[in-house]
Amino acid sequence: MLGFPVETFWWFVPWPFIWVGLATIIYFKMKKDDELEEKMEKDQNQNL
Amino acid sequence: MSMDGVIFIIYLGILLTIGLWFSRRSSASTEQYLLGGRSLGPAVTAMTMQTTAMSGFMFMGAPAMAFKYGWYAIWYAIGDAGGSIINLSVLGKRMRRMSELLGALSPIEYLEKRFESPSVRVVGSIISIVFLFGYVCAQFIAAGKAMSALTGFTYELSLLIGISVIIIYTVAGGYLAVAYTSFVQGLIMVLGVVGIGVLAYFHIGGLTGLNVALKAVDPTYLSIWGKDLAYYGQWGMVLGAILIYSIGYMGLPHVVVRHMSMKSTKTVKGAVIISALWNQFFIFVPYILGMIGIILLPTIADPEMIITELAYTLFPGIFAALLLSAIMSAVMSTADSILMQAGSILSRDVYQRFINKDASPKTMILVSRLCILLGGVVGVVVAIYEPPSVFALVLFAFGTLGNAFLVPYVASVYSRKANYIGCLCAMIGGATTNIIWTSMGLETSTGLHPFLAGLLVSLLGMLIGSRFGRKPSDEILTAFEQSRKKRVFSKEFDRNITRDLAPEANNVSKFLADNK
Repeated sequence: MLGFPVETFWWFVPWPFIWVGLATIIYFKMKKDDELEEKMEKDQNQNL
Repeated sequence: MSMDGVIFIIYLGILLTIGLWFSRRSSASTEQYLLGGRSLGPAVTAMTMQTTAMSGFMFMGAPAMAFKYGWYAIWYAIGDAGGSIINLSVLGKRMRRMSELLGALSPIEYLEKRFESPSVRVVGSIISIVFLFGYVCAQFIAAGKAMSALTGFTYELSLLIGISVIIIYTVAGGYLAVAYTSFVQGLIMVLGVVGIGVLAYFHIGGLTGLNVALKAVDPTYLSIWGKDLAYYGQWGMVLGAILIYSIGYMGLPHVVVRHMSMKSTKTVKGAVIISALWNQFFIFVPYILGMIGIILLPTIADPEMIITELAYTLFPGIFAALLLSAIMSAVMSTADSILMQAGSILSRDVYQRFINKDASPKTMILVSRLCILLGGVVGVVVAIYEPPSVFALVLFAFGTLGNAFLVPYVASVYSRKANYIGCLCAMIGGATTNIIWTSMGLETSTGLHPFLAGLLVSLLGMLIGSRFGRKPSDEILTAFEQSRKKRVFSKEFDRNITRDLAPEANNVSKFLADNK
């Protein structure tokens, strides 16, 4: 596999994909949190 | 002067223009000068954070490390590639909120206000100034080497020209100039490094061609344990190599300040995704170029010059100039941020706090500018007379700063119990352990990376130290709770209320069922 020994391949090659995947999950989680916060702020302002 | 030299001079001119452009806006107030009025959006936040973190080390130290160890060096790149994601998601929102609630303008002032003790500020200032200075010296040396190769000027003259530009735009434009020049520099860095990476990649026959050639020289270059299996079975070294650049950024004052200058907490999510993508394009390439150097430049005298040599060997002309501009970008974007940070710490955390409490904003900005100038001049003198290797100096300064401040910053927003004794123990214990570990070469006998050793001691210091001394005040606890806000009710509250209401809900269901 790309001239790597098997051990080196599996320890190194997946990482860029893992990081981008993690960043995408965090992005959507934070987006959800931001929307929730906005909604709560809006509700609080209306109540005032 | 050759065409590539001219291109580079134009590039320096653009950076100076940005600095001068922001100089009028930056003089408006201390907050404007030191934090850009907390106005940075996700793209600029992501780029300034990453270019600040990716210093001259990436173009000089990283290839030299890969040249020495082979694929083992990629452990450092793996941590680095995820560093911004961890940094932003762990500290991002909470620190942005907390710093604003406490009214802190510098990362060291933030620690003093959160842990409520001037001793935290004194110790923090001393550690950060000493090691930021070491870090900036490494950048100056890298700048001198790269510019000397590009222009043909002597190392000393190159150093003077390159550093003068950095100092002028930092002094004039303040934080906004630093952040926006970082944005331009970030684009140039990616263009330069990906460009040469693609060309060198095809020149050597792709990853397969590189690995076949490395195997022919020495098969252990392909091992995860380093050339000659130098670190065979030493997971303590591997873990330290990953951790230093994945979580270490959370301990660097000049990187942490990026959290404080964001426009709002909503900036974080965009910054996470932009920086993650930028990292995957940028970070691995310099290491791979270092390994290509093993094949194409096996007799190179200074492995830190591999990328420069490759640029001129394989791609002379304008493209080489672009690449060298990228190297200078990396150096400058880190050096200006460190100088800016050192200036902030000296003016706000030392001058205003201990010398002139009633200093006006104008005086503060002047003192900050003078400190940046002084730091730059002393740095140039040291870089001319005592040039150590960029690789060693960055690892040492980075590791010590990370070990001193990582635990206090994380604990400041995640632990209610963390107090000033814990913070002092964590800072002093972490920094001292890294210094002792590195200077006595304990990593060889213990199999433990200096960063990992320092991290463990710092963590223990925080846990044990926080059991002594006074507890955080009610004001701090209130700010702590507000910095965590997302839900109006805590999860615990939600759980309890569900449990409390369950019997009631059952009764209502039963009543409705009975009366159907």
